[in-house]
Amino acid sequence: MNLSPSDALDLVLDSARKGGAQDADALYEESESLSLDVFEGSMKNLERSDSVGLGVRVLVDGRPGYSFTERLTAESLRRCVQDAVALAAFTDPLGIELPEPFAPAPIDLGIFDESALAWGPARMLEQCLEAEAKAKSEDARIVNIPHLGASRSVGRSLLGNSRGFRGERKSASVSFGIGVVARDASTDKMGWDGASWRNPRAIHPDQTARTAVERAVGLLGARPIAPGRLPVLFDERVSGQFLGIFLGAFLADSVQKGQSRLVGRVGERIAPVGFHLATSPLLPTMSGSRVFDAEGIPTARRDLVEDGILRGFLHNLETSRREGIAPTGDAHRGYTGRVSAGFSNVELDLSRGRRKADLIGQFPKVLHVVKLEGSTGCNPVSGDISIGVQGFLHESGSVIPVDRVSLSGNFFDLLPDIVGWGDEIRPGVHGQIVPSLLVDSLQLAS
Amino acid sequence: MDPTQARRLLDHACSRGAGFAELFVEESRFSSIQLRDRRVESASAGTEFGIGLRMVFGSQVLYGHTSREDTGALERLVEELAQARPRHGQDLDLGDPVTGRSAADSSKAGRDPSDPQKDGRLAILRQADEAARAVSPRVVQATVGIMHRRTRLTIFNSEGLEREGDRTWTRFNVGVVAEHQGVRQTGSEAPGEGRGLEFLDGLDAIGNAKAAADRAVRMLDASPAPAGEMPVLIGNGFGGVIFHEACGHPLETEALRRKATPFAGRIGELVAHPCLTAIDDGTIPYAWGSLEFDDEGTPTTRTTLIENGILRTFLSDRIGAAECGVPRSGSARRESYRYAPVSRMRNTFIAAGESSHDELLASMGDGLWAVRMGGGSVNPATGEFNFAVEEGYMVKGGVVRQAVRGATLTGKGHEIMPRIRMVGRDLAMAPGTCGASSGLVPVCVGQPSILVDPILVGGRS
Repeated sequence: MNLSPSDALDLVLDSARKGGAQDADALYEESESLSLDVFEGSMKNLERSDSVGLGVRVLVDGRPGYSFTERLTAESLRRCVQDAVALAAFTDPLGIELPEPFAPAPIDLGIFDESALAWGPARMLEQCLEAEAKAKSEDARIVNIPHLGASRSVGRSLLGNSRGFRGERKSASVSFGIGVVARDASTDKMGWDGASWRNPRAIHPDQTARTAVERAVGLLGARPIAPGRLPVLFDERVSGQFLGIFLGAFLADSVQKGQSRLVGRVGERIAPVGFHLATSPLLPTMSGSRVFDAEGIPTARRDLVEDGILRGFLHNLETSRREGIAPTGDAHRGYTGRVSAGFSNVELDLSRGRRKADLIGQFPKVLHVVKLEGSTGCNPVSGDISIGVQGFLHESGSVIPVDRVSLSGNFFDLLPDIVGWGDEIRPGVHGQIVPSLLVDSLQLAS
Repeated sequence: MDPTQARRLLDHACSRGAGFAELFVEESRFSSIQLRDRRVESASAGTEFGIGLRMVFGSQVLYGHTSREDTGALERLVEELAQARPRHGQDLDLGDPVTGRSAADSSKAGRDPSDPQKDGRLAILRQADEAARAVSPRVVQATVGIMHRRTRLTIFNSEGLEREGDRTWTRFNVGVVAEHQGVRQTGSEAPGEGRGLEFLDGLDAIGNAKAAADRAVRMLDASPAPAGEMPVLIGNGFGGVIFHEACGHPLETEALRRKATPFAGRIGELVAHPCLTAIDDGTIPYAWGSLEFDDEGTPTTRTTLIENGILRTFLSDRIGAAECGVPRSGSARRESYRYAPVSRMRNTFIAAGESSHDELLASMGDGLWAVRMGGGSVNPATGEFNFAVEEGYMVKGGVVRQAVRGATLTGKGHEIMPRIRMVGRDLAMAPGTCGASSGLVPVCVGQPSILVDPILVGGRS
């Protein structure tokens, strides 16, 4: 018989102490979701999930050992703790102190909205069919709609430690997306639109379908352009994804292990004046929002880059202790894994953002990138960029769709070359407040 | 799960109108240990447990899963799925039933991990770590690890199937960072097999560590790759990732069902150069992507996808086979109980050809030798792909010249196939993890060296 989440936490933390651990923390997570997808007028798949899991970290003489289980019976939980204690014998001491309990600030982050639960399969299907019909009627060049679906999910997590800390986080979200294929004489092009929200009222199937169609059709006839250096505008559809490839450089763990180009550069200018990059955990509704981190430390907004100057890195207890600084509350963890650190929402300050047309108009020739083709040519450690892109070349009033080209350069060298950014972000609660970014310039190959 | 309880649930599902129902009961044990710079960076273990329930109404698939095994939770799941089903949908005959009873043969699962000191894992990791560092003072970091997974599963279906499985996988990984004058390069190797810890007995961990470190150090002196269209000789083994991504995925019925593949309606046609034969084989003993039976209980097969350039068939699961009218290939796979099975690759490779390495280089003349591919991505609906070259050299007049870095290969899979104009003899396989709608599954990619002429290279110079 499965134990209740709080009983399971108590049992695990208690067994850890009895098993020889001086300290332990444990994370319980459960999630429930429902999703369906539609193809050619009928529902193809419907999925319903209900999962639970608990992960424990024990500290035996300061040495960490990890284990997890998805079976919340007393027997399986005890075995889980035994595994963790046995594995701790092989690790090096972290020298960390788990935090004492604190009362989280009474902030409503707006990440749990009951209305998400009321969004049922009948309504999801209706809205998918509406989007499918809209996409088909919108443009005769739409030949296929291979991706069309809706989902909702509710998650709850409970973190506890042997010092008495207990914290709970509950969230719910809905998502809707459509991917269409447009065809002309020579090419197929895919266009996608979709987003996650807290409330199903934010979903507009007609508008989503129209946008996907526009995006697919807009790229028809795309071709390579001549190689050379040119200014590039990364649209807000892709700027967060682009930035995300290299944000590992801001992890203190990477810095301490020499795996970041930002080693030793705190206090130096790495980006232009006016550029602020923050981890921003208290933003309303966003996916990364939280009042305590995965080790039970209170969170707060923090600038890592302030007006272009590097100010610091993202820490968990282990990395902050190594540096002798106070915990910063950036720890992340899932029940199957170990404690790491990360952004709790990426926020690039939008002040001084400009309209996209102004950004494009700043140069006689600009490549406006709307699609990235995988990040594997990019090296997050060295910052080297080699990435296929699609988009539009704006040159003296004309606009040409472009594909089969790749951009190259180095992320850390291009940061100071950011000469402007937009005033809009991608819709949704994805946790990336990142506007479009204008870079002067990058090397293009075709 | 007790078979009587399983039968009762499946009967219940069918009484709610499902034409087919299936339960997938899984318990997996994970163990991993990772060393970084001589220290045990992480040591972890875990248990995944859950039950997946699939109900098929015509061609509509309803799937639910839970980690709670009490009858009440499962009965509720049947009801929730049945009630969520929209009313309309076409009928689909799933064809011959998949039946039979078999118990798992646990002796094949091999050795399980115990204490990392006693079972030999720590010793292997320490040797590999030292070997990587000894290659050059430019090696600044080494990470080595071993992971093991053992999955016990039972599949019950409404046609009477009751099949137990016991599957194991063990994999070794090494990652090296080398640095010189501010330039950093990485190299990695990650061999693995579908067996227990005895995989480690035959493993050359030191050789793998040296190979990864050598590559990272060699690439420090590389110059930026040139850009433009040119002939490219793609190296054997992991080079097969391009075929996997750009042709393998579009040859799954999961893509065909959605007409999201350039190969739709092309069986029997010439889709590649006649020198090209491509196979997906789930039967290779102990290979990383092999299976005794697939995740619907269908015995796995060796499937010739393309024979001398001609498209022969697609990889199918039961629904895909019935819907698309292709034979069953026993390719239904899923990461775990969390996913409904769909057609997926197993060990996919381009068959060995006739050409020697020298013949390939000579025939290429001037171009890029992409010895080792990195990862990449592909859009299966349009065939567009993009892959990084981890280790590359320029070739002039058939002679290998300077190392180059930062190259990417870009194109469309179905357009590249006719341009593979020579195939080498040096077939090799490499294990990897493939992600798609039914999660991450272990697969092998593979090929001999192949000459593609031309292909678009993106580079920095």
